[in-house]
Amino acid sequence: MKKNIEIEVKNLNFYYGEKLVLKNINLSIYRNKITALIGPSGCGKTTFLRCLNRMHDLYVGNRYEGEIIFEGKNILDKNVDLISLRAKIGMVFQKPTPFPMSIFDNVAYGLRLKGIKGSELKERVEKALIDAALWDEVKDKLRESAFSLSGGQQQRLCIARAIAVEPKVLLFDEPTSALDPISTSKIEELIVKLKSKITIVIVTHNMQQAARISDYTAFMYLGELIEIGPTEKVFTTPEKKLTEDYITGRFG
Amino acid sequence: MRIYRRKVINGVMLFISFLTALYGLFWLFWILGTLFVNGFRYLTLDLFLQDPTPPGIEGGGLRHAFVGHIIITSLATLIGIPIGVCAGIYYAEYGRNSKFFMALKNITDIMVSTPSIIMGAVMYALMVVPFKQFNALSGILALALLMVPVISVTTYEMLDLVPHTLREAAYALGAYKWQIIKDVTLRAAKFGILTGILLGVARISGETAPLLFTSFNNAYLSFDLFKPMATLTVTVFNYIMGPYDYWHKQAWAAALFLTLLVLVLSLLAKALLYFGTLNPFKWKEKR
Repeated sequence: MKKNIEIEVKNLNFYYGEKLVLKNINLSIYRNKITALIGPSGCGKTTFLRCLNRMHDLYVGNRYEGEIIFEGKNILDKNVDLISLRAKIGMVFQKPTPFPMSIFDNVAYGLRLKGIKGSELKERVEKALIDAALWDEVKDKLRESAFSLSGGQQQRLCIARAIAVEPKVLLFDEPTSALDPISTSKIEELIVKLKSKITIVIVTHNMQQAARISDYTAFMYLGELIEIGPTEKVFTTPEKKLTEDYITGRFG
Repeated sequence: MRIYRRKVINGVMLFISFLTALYGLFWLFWILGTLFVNGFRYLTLDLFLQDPTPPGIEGGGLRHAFVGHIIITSLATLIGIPIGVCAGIYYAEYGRNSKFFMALKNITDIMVSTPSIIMGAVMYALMVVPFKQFNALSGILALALLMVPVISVTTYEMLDLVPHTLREAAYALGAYKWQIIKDVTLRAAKFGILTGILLGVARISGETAPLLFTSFNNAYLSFDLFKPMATLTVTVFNYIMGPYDYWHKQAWAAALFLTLLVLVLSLLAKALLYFGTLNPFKWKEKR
């Protein structure tokens, strides 16, 4: 079992300034599985997700304690190269974030950063767009602005951009909360398809979504991890009363 | 009953704000109208192509002032743009987490509305007194100094409008900060920054005060940056106060020209911002 762990989080505390917002989190994220993080607003799910690629480092006054083991190393160490870490652990955000450039250049962006050029660049962009189920819709307008796409297409473009650099882990921060039901189901299908190659962690407000697509579900409340387990078990026979109350809609 | 009262108050307030708007517009159009009536007749080709005649002899033009104005404002722009844009980028992308740089940014905000004559005084002390001569270069530097805060503040504000998630998305792909600034944030903010530059140019192209005791004035066409140089604004100032009728006419025409120039620049800036934010991709992506 130990072998299949992609990321192991040990005794993680996280502070915004003086305020402790993540309290002693311990969990494992399994390779080529989808782990969903659920819980009421403000419980720290997004904060936790952003620890995994050290996104908090962009802002001052944030502090981590504990360990997050990835590829045998603690990524919270001071001397970790954040650029290469983030190339291995990608992220897709709540709102689509296309760059102000063409569709092709958006997907090519991360590849060009790695120094990939010419025909290999074209192939990798095409492959990423095919994998993101967007190729048929955009193949004739790769040179057009990414803003010409619809919201759902923009989000799939962002997924294509993230998978083009072949990360090991992809973090999704409520990727469908700004989208309509049809776009949402397309993206859910896509996420399930991606797990054969990539380990996925997804934050979601939508419990049905967590139940539909995830293999493991973690329930967080007020900065603490209350329960984590196989999704089916968490949703049908949760160990904690709090989890049951949340899942059955008694609060949150 | 209450609704009726609210309607009446609404009507009264609307009427008062209409009157105040009318008051402002009246003076604006009065000034523009006077300029047009007095200046348009004398806006001849000779004005642009002839040098001035000796004082008191009718005729001639303001070629020396047009040339001097172009030299001084364009060189000031060339100096002001890179410094202003770079300062704005620094404030927005690097200085944000430092109290020191945010204090500097606030001082820059204040400098936008500094009376322009102070820039002239500074350059007088730094560039005129040591050389014991009025020179064009000091005027150029005074205008550049005036322009830098305008451009850097707009650049900062436009970069500040770029959503954080856009930067984060680029970080999440493993980009370095300078790559993100170059490829993502500057691109997203470019129309706004261009607008700031145009507003900066508009600001300096109508200035007289900082030039009065720096580049001073010159009755002849001059290209020497270390000698006094004529500008339209200072020439208008001198001609209006001069004794000759034809000086007054030429000054009216030059003033009209300057006003139109600033008007066109401001409209261009507005149009850029409007179309730029409306659809940042109206232009074709070139490869």
